[in-house]
Amino acid sequence: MPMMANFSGGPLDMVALALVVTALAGALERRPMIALGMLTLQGVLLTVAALLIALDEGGAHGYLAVAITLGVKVVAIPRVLRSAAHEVAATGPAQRLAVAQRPAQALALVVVLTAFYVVGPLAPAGLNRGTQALPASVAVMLLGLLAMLVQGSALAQVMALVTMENGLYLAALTATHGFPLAVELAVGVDALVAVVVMGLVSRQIHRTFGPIDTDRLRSQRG
Amino acid sequence: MTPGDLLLFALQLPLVVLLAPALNGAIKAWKAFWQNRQGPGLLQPWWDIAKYLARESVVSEHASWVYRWAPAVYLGALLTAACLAPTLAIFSPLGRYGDAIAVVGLLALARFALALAALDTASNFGGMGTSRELMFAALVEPALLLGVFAVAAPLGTTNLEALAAGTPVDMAHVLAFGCLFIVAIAETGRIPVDNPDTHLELTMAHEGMILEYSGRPLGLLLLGGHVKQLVMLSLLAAFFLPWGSARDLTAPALALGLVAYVLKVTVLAAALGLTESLNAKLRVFKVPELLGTASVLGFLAVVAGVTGGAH
Repeated sequence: MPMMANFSGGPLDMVALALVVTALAGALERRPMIALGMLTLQGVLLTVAALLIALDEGGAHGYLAVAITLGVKVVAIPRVLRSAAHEVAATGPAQRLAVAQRPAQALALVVVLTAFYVVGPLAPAGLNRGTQALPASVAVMLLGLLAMLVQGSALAQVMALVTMENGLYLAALTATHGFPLAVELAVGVDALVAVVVMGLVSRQIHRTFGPIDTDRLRSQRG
Repeated sequence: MTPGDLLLFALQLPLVVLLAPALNGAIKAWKAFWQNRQGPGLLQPWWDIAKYLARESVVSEHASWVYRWAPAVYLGALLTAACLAPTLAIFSPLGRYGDAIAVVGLLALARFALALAALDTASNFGGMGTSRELMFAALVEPALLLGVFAVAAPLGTTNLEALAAGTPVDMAHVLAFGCLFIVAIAETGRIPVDNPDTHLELTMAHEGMILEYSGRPLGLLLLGGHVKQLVMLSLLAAFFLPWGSARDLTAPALALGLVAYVLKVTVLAAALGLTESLNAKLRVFKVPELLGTASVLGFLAVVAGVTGGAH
């Protein structure tokens, strides 16, 4: 493509960076519906990434991975979380962060830069997949971890888990020639089941106690 | 001046003058769409400017020559900046005579002229608008320079043509885009920093400064404001979306570059309009926080650009 000639990175690099941006926007978001939108966007970007890999590798297997990504990350997980997010957004106040927002934002940016600085020089051997995908996946994972640490509500923590899983998934997509179907299915279904259970539980907590602030669980310790 | 420069001049200057008001009209129409109302036509800013240019101007008897010359300096500085910025090609008419820092300087010159004029008539609104605008400016300029340096550091030059020619996809550019987008919002006086639709005293910064003007000088100032907006969007397009820009001065390349350029600034303008539609205006004392965020993004972009260049 001659029009792309002035870029040193390929489309996969752009998708990976866009994924980092959505993770940055979603990780510290206090409004559940917007965080969920970011999560869905991540699913779409992962589907595009899977499609790019499938085009690169050839073979039906890759396209199956695209279908699984689309089904699990774009349709199933957001749908499971949607009703819970709706309920929380409709009844509760904006969710609290454990750290003030601005330091948390600065921390998130530092985490991203650290990931790029440390993982940037590494590249999967024998694969020509650009230079950004692997550091981006580590950055998304770390952002998910950060979100899990600073987010107060159970629902946001579930979303943080999905964000971490998204980063892992990007790494798995880009660092291999596609993993075995059994693994692929297992990862997809595993995450989905976990999200279903946690979504239901956080919704139940919300219904029973109002706030789903996990700090309140501390008083239950013996 | 080579023939190529003159050709670019002949293309770029009319393009900027014609496109800038239309783009502002497009943003207005886009905002109207988000507010579920029927907006004015795309060309309304043109008709507004044409109307003002035909009207006589009423000047306060206390105004000095500063007030009379300021609109010309304002528009002149911004049109010069528009000729420095690469638009439809990776080259620009004045690209060999000034760099990104010259653009920042010209923006500052325009702001300086307008600030003097707004203070000259000693109107309260002008003074208040000026003090706000200059407070924002003191925070916007470092952020703008940091964003530019982040893009320039890996290439080792601040020449705009070189910056437009090569854009690697990396984290530094993502952060720099975030920084410069916030700067563009502030420089164009849009929500959440300023409100371009009103000169109610609670919101106004830029609108307060031009409140005293009428007739032809007002037309020049309005055109200048539109050109400033287009300059900011052109810089964003040149730094971050270099697709399709003409790489030589042949007719097909320039035609493709023109289409690509209009498309790119329209997309960026749509992003500005969407930001404006989805956010509320910040209180004046909250604006420095937003601009501080831009500076932090710019600083981290510089860090990422410098460390990323190592491997």
